[in-house]
Amino acid sequence: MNRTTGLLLALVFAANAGGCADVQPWERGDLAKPQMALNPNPTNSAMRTHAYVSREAASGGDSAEGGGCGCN
Amino acid sequence: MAATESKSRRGALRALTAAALALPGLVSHARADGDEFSFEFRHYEEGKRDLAEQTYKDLNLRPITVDSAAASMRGEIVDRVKFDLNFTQDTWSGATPVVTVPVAAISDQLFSGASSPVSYSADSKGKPVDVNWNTFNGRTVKYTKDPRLVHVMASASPETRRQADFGLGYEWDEITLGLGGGISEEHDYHSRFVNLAGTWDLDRKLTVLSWGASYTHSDIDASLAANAAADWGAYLNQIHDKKGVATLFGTRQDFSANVGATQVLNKDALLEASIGYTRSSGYLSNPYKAVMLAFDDPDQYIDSTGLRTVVLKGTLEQRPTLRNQWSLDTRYVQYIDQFDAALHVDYRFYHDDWGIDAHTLDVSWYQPLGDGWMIVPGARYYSQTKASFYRPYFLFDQAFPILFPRNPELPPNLDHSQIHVKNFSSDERLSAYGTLNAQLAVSKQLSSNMRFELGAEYFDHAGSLKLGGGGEGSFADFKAYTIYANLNIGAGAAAVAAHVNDAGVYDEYSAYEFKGGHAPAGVSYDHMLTRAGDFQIAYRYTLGYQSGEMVHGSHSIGDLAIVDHGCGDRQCLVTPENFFAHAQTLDLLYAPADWWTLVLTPGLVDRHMDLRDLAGRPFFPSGIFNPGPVESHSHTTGGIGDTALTALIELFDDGENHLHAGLGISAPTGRVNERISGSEEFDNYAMQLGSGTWDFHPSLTYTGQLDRFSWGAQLSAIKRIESKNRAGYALGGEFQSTAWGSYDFLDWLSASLRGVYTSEGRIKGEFEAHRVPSIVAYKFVGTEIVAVYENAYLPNSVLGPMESPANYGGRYLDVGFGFSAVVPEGHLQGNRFSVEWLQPVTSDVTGYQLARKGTLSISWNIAM
Repeated sequence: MNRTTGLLLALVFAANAGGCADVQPWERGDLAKPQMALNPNPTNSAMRTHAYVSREAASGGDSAEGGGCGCN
Repeated sequence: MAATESKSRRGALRALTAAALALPGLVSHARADGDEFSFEFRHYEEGKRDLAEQTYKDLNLRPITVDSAAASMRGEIVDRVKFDLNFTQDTWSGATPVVTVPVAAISDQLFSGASSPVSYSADSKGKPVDVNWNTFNGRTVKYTKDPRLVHVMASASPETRRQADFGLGYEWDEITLGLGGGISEEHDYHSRFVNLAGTWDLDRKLTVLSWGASYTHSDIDASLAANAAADWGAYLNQIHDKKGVATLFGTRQDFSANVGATQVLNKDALLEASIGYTRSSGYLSNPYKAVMLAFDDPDQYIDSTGLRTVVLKGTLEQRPTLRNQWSLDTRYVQYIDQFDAALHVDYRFYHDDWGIDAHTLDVSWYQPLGDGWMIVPGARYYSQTKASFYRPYFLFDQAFPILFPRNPELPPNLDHSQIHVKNFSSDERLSAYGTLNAQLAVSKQLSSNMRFELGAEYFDHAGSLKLGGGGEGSFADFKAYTIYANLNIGAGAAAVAAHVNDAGVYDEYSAYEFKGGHAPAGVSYDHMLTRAGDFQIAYRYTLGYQSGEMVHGSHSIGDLAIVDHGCGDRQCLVTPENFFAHAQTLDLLYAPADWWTLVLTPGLVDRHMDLRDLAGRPFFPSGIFNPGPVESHSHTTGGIGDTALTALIELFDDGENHLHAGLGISAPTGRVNERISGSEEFDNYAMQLGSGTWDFHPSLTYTGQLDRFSWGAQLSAIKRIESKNRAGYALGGEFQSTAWGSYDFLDWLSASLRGVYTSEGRIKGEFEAHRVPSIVAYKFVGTEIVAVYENAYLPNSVLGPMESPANYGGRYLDVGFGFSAVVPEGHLQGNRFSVEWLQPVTSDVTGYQLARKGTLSISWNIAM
């Protein structure tokens, strides 16, 4: 756990502190393209995640959402 | 004209604002700008597992399938206040592993003919062996070592899970706050949840911090009927009788929290990272999973063959009642200028205090192909270590620890105080394994605000795929695939922005145009589209409800008459008490030309029936030699229903009066071989998911309107093209005539009154005979008499009137009361919601049937 937290903090700080270019609003054309969305299709990814959750043990701990079992 | 111009200018302005604001933080946190509707159908199917000596066919089993549907809606209520509503349904059916045993136990079982594995033979070192008893010469016998393991599968009770949830969000300039909640319902698992989440934009949105927390409370009440042989172990005090069935009651709580950050790295790359923690407590086991405890008594008597007997006993799995879980999620997105493509790399590390560490790496490539097409190939790798209390089965060097209960009428149990392991599970999902997936999605932007996506995913789940090797044996391996179709209307800020880039214009939502009037919610195929090339979508839900007394002809009838006459030449034991038939369909309309419209109607259906014992039913003493017929009292089925494709052809239209003909073909995509949980018997005809036959659906529809009045009439029929389906029967044909009138009280609200006459034919044929293990002889094994089973072809049991084809069909007269509302302005402008209740007036049923109580129809015509 400590190792995990450390790794995360390192990543976040690296992203924040280390060499992030200042991207002006008019330079964000590429970032606004649909293929660049972090989650291009929320309904699809929610269903996909639910399918994994019911088949794999590593289910919890991510999104702050609830949900049922569906877990035969 | 002026109105149109100002509309499109406003649209373009909104789209440009959206483009400027279309930043990852907003998009990823599901508060995308612009209204959006999304629908998805998804089918998951596992391949067959290696069952060693047996096959799925021998055992009348089918691998797990899951049919899911989701509908969601996001939008803005007033400035800065966002909402989302989501509905998801999934139906599970098929066989899953219940326990794992050495193959040697199955060999012994098949030889002895016992109905489940009770022991296996082992050599002097305790290793499992397959014994060839035909070589027994009175003193010695030939045997071979067999280290293989195998799952014992059982058809889980098919079940449908429904989840509804909502979210409300408020957006300040740099901060968003969201509150959500929902419920998830299955017959054995009931969840309620709330969540709170927020984001904080820093540095002109180059950095977005996010956080969330949620709480879920779940109540479990799982019937142990299908797992009746298992010892109850630690759950003795949680198991109570519910409607005559031993039922396990439990509660569970999950608390989750996460924090994360999204960072724009440069003008072509961004990174999201988050950590999450979940604490789960309470009943965390799976009530349908058992564990085989094996007892190799060191002091057992060894006869001249030198073989040891290891005694097996199944017991409900016992997981710890607390689980702490941590996860780290990272997502990296890189724009590849050369190809105008995006590379997505997601990595997740997971750790819990059950001993499971898991890594997930998901890589996909988003490649636009021009003209609105996008192709997304991807791969996913998942690997986990096993839980500390997982083993395929648990072997103890001790005698079977019998506990004689205080009540001498109860069978002896396991004395758990003599078993030193407190937590045990053989659920293969807690074993060590890896999964490798290949996936492909193709999407097409159909119009400025509508996107259609098709996708497929193939899974290879294997112990040998675990990172670093050393995973579970190959008995637990399986392959699976998923296919899905997704339709997105309004397509969110990102797509809108893209459209501005491509074309420079963005159409405001406009209500679709149609010919003919809108009929009440219960009438299908009531309108056509006006212009060639138009699309339209409607969502439709219907619930048919039957309950209470039994009816014969048009009169209610007592139990004794049903016992004597309801089941042909046998006596009935049970009868239906409640029946719910749910159907959800999408009507996808497309006009190839002005004069005709094509309608495709895919859908999901699910059914539930409760039975009761008939008063005065004959009594069958149960016992080994005469196991009385057993009927479960609660049946559920569900999955994809039949799919119809219909052409609506205009015959006459003068602006006030409209007439069109419908020519439809229904494909038998709904299953007709649904079986009763834990049995080889087909579930009754009403519980099957489709007709099983190709059907012809002709119809003729007339609509008229004048001022605030509209009216219409429709004749429709169903003709079965085939004489029987794969299960051996064909449903009766159907004829329906209906007429309605409606009046617009307000510009946006109308009320309707409708009459319906339906005539439904009787079922032709019946369920074909199916294989059932039957006792054909008895023989000596050692000193014991055991029954010898063989598969025999037997007709489907008729224990109640719903199982006899003579009790289907009839003539019905119903009256319908409905309302229909159109959203006059705002973000949902042009959406039409209709609801109708059909109340039975007279019924004349064929044979003996449960009384019809009514039909609820809800439809939603989506403005695009």
